[in-house]
Amino acid sequence: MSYVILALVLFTLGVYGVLTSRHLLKIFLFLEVMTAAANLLIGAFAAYNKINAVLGQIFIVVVWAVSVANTVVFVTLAIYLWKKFGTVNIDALREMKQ
Amino acid sequence: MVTVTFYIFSAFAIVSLWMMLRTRQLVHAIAWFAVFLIIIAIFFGLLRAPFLALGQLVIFTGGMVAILLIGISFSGIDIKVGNMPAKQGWYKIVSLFFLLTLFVSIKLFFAKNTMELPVQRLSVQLFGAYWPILAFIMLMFLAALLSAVYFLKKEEK
Repeated sequence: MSYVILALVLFTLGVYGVLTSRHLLKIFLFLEVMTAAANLLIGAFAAYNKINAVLGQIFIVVVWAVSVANTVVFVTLAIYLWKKFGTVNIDALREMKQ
Repeated sequence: MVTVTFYIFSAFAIVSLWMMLRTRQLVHAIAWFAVFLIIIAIFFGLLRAPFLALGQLVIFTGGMVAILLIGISFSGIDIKVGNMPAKQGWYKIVSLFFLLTLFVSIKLFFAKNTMELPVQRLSVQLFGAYWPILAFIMLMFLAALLSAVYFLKKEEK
């Protein structure tokens, strides 16, 4: 139960960070925090599942792969936006779009 | 011992996220993010999942943080993220964190029967029954790298 509450708190802080941050890469950091909180919850459930604990861990490995691929694409996108528009502030980018 | 460690590092995880929110420099936010990832690895260690703990340290705390820092330093992206004043005395929290990490690492290293799920069993499953997942992971990395090259080449044109 403690891990569930902790994962919930961490996920909530991640959501708060995503909603309040304006820098593109900082938003990405908080998205990764949310992913880590979800991973922690899956890991806790896998640890307390005595029948098939391997499955939960393999699922976490797959989520890691998606996260790392996501990082490469996100950092490249941030570099692309910085070179093209000179900013990675989402408010400024939204104004440019309008 | 495990319960006390869990509560102490829970507090550290929340503090590290709060510092991530408060900091005005992106590099500091990434440093606090690395601290948060180390704490998650410790939680995996407490859950008796050594493979996940090591993977978290190597892939995330090592790889992802390095990718972010290299991307920022080579592209010159603006690292100022807010107007909040920088907090003084954060080094005390970091020092306390590393001392606690060292203490827990030593305790876990000398603990007996901490591995409930041996890494060998996990690797047999991962490279045996779940090999399509590994192939999927490799395709994911390839797609991510090709996307990155496409974006950067498009910018050059």
